[in-house]
Amino acid sequence: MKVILNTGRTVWQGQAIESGKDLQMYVDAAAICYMDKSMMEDLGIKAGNNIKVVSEFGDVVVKVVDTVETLPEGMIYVPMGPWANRVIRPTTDCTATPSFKNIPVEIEPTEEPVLDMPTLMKVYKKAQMI
Amino acid sequence: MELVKNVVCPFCGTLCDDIVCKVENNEIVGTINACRIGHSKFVHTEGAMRWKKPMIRQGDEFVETTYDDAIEKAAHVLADAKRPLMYGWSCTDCDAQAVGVELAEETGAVIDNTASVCHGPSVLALQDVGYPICTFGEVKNRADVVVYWGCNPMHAHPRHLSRNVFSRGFFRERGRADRTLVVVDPRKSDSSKLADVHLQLDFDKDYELLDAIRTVVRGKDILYDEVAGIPREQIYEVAEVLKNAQFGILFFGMGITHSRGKHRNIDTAICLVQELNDYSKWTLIPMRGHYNVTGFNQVCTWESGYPYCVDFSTGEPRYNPGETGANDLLQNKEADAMMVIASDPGAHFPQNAIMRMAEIPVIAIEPHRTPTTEMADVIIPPAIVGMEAEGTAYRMEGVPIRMRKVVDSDLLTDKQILERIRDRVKELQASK
Repeated sequence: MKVILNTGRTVWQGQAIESGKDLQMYVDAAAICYMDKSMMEDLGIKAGNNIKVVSEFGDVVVKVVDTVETLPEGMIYVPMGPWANRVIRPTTDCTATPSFKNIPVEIEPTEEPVLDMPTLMKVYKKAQMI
Repeated sequence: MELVKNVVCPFCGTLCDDIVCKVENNEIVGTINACRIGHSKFVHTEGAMRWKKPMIRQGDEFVETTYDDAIEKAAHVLADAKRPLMYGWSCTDCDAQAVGVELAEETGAVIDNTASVCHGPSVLALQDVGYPICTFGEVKNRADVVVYWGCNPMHAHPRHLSRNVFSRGFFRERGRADRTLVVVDPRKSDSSKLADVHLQLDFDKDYELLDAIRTVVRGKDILYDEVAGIPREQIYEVAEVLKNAQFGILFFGMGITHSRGKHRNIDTAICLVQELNDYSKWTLIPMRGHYNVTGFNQVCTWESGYPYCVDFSTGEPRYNPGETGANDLLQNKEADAMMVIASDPGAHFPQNAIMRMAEIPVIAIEPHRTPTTEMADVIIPPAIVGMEAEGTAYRMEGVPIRMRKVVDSDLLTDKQILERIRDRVKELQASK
């Protein structure tokens, strides 16, 4: 299903980054996708199921949760963080600022697990440089 | 248990200065007045990893080392790099930032702060068209029309509304009841639920709506039935509310800096505020995120003439966001070494930038385990400013506030770490 990805702060994500980004609290607050019930029905999924979000720039698996802040039709919301940043548009348009909001993405139900923070960062295969 | 009063919160740009910290055995065990996020910063959460010693990467693991060794390695990396990038700076104090600019100049580095993934477009816009700003005191005491455009303070700045909208002021004795609250957001956000007027515009259409309101404010007609999903009549009504304000304030956030148009959205928002001054007193304040992101822009401007994205590679400060931004340098694979301080680009940079961080030496001056330290080669833990060290920070509208030290720490401060790296870099440069 083609949708628009919005990203940004939630108070739960803010609490989690200050509590500890290595905690499960961070996964629960930022590796999630807020979605309206009608979109879940269209996808044939329920809150708690995982979806894969794929954009032109990357993909990520996140858990679907009910949105408390009603979204416009066709929009999903993933809190800011390393999960959302797998799929946002990196280009800065000569402003130094990437495009974090309103990214066209494709979403599909998946059985793949949501990665925790250290495992997610291993995707980038950090090489020892010193 | 000791109560330490009037503590300044080192989380967001609101810099709440009325926090009470409960201290037991040199540890903050509780807070009064802090929001959910601020409380989490002050109080250690069980299970969260805090770096107590400097660390060096060995394969996929980190091993402990000394400050001397970590600083020596950091100095070598920066002195040997051709295009070093120094990024972050927004969660530390102004004195540390000043040493950082000196270090950048010494190493011919590019220095950039978190504004470049936040309110950077606002900085570009205010350089274009001006900065009609005021202080929180003016808002609290005078503002009768408050607009939050593209921001959700109930989540991102949780006490912002209580300090600026619900609070009673000299000319606003009834607080919230004396103010009209307008929220512009494509979502029905928790902030918009509190608003008198919610303009639920189509996403990526902020420029169009701002332009339509400007058209009406100038006394011209809108030729369409709706603009950006907002009916024509409602735009006229809102324009009247704005024009008839006694004192109006526009707060704006990532909803317009990160969406299509970026700095051009802010350009036109600032122009709207300027034009509203033909009818009333209007000002604006950007909703800055990190508690001292504003401070870095101030310090960097005093020191180099430019607020962020400053390139010292030619020996003179050069400023060209879009080329000398942290994301530009990483994504173009220009940066060949990176020092991160007081921020977390690992969590907040897009995938293409982090791919570059994985293939260059990264030094992280960072107290906690974060996505950035997962990408680091050297981790140097500092004392946390505002809790374990004092220092000056600038509130989002540019008021400097002294951060308090609440508990003691054996760790070096950001400033001390940077001074030692700077001194060692100078020695290495002299021996070349």
